[in-house]
Amino acid sequence: MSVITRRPENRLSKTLFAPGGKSIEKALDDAAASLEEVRAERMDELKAKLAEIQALGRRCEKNAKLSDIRSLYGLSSDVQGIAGVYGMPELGQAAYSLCELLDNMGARKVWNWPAVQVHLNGLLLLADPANAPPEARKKVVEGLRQVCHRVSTR
Amino acid sequence: MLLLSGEGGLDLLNRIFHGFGVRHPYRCVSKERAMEVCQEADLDLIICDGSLPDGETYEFVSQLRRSDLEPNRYVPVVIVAGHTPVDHVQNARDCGANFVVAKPVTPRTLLERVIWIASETRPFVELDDYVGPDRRFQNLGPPKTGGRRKSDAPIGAATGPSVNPEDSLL
Repeated sequence: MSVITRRPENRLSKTLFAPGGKSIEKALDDAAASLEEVRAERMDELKAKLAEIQALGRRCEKNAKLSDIRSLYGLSSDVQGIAGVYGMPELGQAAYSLCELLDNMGARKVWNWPAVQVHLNGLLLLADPANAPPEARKKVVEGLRQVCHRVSTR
Repeated sequence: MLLLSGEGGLDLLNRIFHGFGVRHPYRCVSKERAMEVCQEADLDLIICDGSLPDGETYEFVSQLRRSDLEPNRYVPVVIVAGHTPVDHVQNARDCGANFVVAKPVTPRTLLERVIWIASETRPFVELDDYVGPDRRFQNLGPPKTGGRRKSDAPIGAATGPSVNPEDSLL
């Protein structure tokens, strides 16, 4: 087997380490400020995606097609991305757990409604920080992880 | 260049990079458009969403690495993934991406990875079944086998004369 090794110019390095420009702290502050500008829009998007998850998930109670599982997976992945960026870690972790569950069920071509239902309920609870104190929220996430693990290893 | 499946995620990443000082990144929502951009402009960094449908992300990176688009075929690629099971990470590694970043993508996480990639010295390798940055990250030193391996010379009493350093030609 032939191996060709190259050392191409790292253009990113030249750009990033060129004299002048922003300090790391300034870049991080500016990025955080830029994200804050669209917080309201992203929260609306988050609510819409959570509503879609609930609607699609509950529609699939009896049976889910592979396309439904994929759609739910995509929505959960989006929720994870937004929730984590805007300081809702438990909601993001619950969405991750749902992704894990759906990925596993999709690969095995099975549908476990109770496991999905408990995730949907968990997302509903965690969507509003006023619903539960931080300790209780962590326990909810831990419970969802256990459900996911149990279903995946069954 | 940013390649993401949805406008929402694209906007979040765009905002983060805007904060870093990147004014007008190329924004793509399909593999086809991303490939067109790679043909039109010289890029410094590509950020891809790992959840493009039907494994399009991995296909795009693999296609770019094997293309003749100089210098973009060598450009660092970061894959952003929400859910990161082992097979997804393996796909990302084997398609030729430089790094996988798990969501949520915060500015600090992203900047740390970008700086890491800008500082890395891994060579770019081309094999029959892989094209991309060398997948060997770590330098672990010699194997910790606790002594010589079986294939090494056997240890025992010398059977011939020892070499005298003074006889050395150097």
